[in-house]
Amino acid sequence: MTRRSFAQWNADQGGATFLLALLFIVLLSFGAIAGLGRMSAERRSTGNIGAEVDAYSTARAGLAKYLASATAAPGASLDTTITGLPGGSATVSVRRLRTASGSLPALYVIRAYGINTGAIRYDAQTPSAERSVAQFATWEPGTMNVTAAWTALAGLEKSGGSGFLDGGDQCTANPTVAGVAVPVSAIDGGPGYDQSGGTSVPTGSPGVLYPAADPTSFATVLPLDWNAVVNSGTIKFDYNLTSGVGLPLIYTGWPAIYVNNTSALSLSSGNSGRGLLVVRRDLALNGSFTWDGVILVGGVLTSSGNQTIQGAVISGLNLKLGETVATSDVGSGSKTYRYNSCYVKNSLQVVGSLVPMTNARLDNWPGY
Amino acid sequence: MIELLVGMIVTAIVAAAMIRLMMTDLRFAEDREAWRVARQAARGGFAVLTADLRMVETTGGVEAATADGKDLTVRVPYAFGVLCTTTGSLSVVSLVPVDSAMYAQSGHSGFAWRNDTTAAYTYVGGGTRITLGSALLCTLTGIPVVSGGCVVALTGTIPVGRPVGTVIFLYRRMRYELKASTQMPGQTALWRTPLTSGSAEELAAPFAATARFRFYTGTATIPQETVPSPLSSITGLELAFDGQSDRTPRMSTGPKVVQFASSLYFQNVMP
Repeated sequence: MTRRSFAQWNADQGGATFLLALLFIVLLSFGAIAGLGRMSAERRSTGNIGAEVDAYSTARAGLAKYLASATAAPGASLDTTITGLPGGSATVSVRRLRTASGSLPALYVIRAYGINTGAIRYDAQTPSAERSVAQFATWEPGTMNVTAAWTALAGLEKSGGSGFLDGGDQCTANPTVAGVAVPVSAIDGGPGYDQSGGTSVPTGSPGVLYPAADPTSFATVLPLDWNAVVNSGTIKFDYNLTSGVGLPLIYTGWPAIYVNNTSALSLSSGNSGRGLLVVRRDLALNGSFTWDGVILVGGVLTSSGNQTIQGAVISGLNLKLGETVATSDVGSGSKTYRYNSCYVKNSLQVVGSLVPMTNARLDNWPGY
Repeated sequence: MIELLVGMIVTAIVAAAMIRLMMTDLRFAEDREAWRVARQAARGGFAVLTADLRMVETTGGVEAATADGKDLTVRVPYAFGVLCTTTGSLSVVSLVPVDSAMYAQSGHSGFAWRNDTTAAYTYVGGGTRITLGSALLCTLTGIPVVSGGCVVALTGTIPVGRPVGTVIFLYRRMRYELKASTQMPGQTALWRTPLTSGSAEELAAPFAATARFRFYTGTATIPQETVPSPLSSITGLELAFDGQSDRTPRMSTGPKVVQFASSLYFQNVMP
């Protein structure tokens, strides 16, 4: 071997070692890449499962939030987007399947399509997780346990024997209730129902009902959450007023009206209407005022003139808040207070709610 | 010559070390792969059953279950709708949109109608399902067809007095079993068999011998292995699908087993 060829051989050996090392590194790199690839696939797979669960939760949250927020019976078709949900948003579609008829409530199917953008994804190409859930629901109008045409928690005074305090259902749909419901003793210590002169006006079953001995006890047993109505926003009113200014001039529907008055609210014939009228403090009815529906009064209801109220009236509700309330007063004249279950039902539509039907959930509504 | 020998010995030592390193790496990769296969089997079974069983309702959903927790027969709802009209033996129903793949599967085992007062379902087995081209019979009774939905005629007894809008679902009777695999002989697989028509399908494999169903009742948060009585008290299942690798990795004493359990609560539960 010449000096030249030995040097070449020696140089070749160094190259082979280098190449072998390089090959070994490449092989190990391939192994590492394959391992990382597997790990990445595992992470994506796990992430997809997690995202699916998150999207399902988003859809369910959207459905629940819509159900809780529905304050009026939806129409035939409604689409809305619920935002602010943890991790994403939900598109809610409501379709009416049956209108209310007789004793059958309106029937709806509500579908929530949740899109979860908050789930951790390991690939920029991976779309947001999406999921649909659906639920059958009925619109259940608000109900009120009417025990009398006029329920006066602090007691009721009546002048003369004219007029009507009638518990017979003018709609003939429900049994007859009492004409008036009062405590045995009024807030002023007198009889719960105190009529001066004439024959007893209240008629019904019975004419006068005494559910409790005194106003405080009566306020306790009356099943109406007055505090929730006036302080907690339980009812979404169509009108929020502080006086008679702003009352509707024309009534096309059955609105819910709240008057948070400080002085007595005075209504006369020009304010006649229908719906749910909630008065925080005293209410004075004058002239030929008429009302179809429910009147809830926190303080005293005084009546002067010739009113006609058909539906149900409750006065003295501020007793449930621990406030002082005087006896309601129906003056002389032709006062007509009659129970009408249809008007009560109509005026309480606004306090109804969408009620999910038990045992009627769907989980395979397609998202495409 | 001596240099050459020394070089060869050194090279051999280095090569042996390299091969040993690579073998260790391969074994490690094989071990990881075995775990992955085991997890994959468990996940695969769970994904299919979740889609199938979530809508099951409790009053009559679970039809049979064996004591070993490896065999379950369920009435699986696959489409919901509302009653448009009925003659008592033939009913027209407006179905809301349903996953097309689920709807198109073979086998219609019957339907169940919901009592508005009690919320309980009455199951009507057998009968046929015919898709109608017209929604006229629903329109006449004031029931619209939701976009993406369809109108079907069902045969089977239903009280004529049921109100329009009564909720109805269509169901298939399905049997889920953990039994011997044909795809992986000697292994356990999850099988799904439509009992009305169609053939058994091997959904996922392999599973460990410990894989089984457990049962939730009422509001219990801990599942039980004993089959509850009555079956209508079952409100959910624990899918204890312990996945297993298809082979034993080298240097291991047996296949890798992943303890995989996930709870599935039925959505339609009586209060």
